[in-house]
Amino acid sequence: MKLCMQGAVFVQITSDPLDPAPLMRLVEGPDMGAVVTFSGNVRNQNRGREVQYLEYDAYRPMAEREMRAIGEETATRWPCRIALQHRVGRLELGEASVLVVAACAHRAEAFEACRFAIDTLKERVPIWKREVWQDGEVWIEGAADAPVSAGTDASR
Amino acid sequence: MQVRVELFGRLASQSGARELTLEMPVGATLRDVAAALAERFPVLTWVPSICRPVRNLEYVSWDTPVTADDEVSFIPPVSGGV
Repeated sequence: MKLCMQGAVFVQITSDPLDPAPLMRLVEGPDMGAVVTFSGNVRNQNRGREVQYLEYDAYRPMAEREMRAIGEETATRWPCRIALQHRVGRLELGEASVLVVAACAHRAEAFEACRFAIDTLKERVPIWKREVWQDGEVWIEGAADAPVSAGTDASR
Repeated sequence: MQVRVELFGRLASQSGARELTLEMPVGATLRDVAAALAERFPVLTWVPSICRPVRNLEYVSWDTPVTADDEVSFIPPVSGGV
């Protein structure tokens, strides 16, 4: 599929595996001396638990809208071209759940832009992960663990 | 008037629903919609104390009124990870 920027920003939510290379090609250019890529990957440990896999759920139209707003705010603060991509559905250990690729003239601003975008994405984009381990599961809601089905207990 | 409610994450898994339509009186606010949702699904009584209300894809306040055919959702704290 051909990826397309709108202005300085590309956003996408997909259930396909993520690949940073097409996003890097999308944002790079002769005026961009620095391209910083952040990849958030599924870790095998969380809060002392052995994670088996994660399942991501998103409020898709709102999440894409928020990701676009974050991209546009980032490109206003640091002149850059930026791509934000999030995966949904079941993800196995080590797979990438989110990519942020920021291209700027110089590396200092590229690192800052990338960091701002991923930190803000984690604060307000409506995407949740259900963490599944050998003998249980929880929704991760910020710092809290929340029960998946009604009537079950969680550590909240 | 009818308001469409979209459910995600814990709201969807606990209620078993991903969307529903609620009949609300004119002048109802997001707080009233959350109360009507908890009436339909008593497992969702925690929603007003944990979630942020959303109307037509934008974060709003609990006092925001809804109008006919609005799309409403309630957003628990989003994904963790440091």
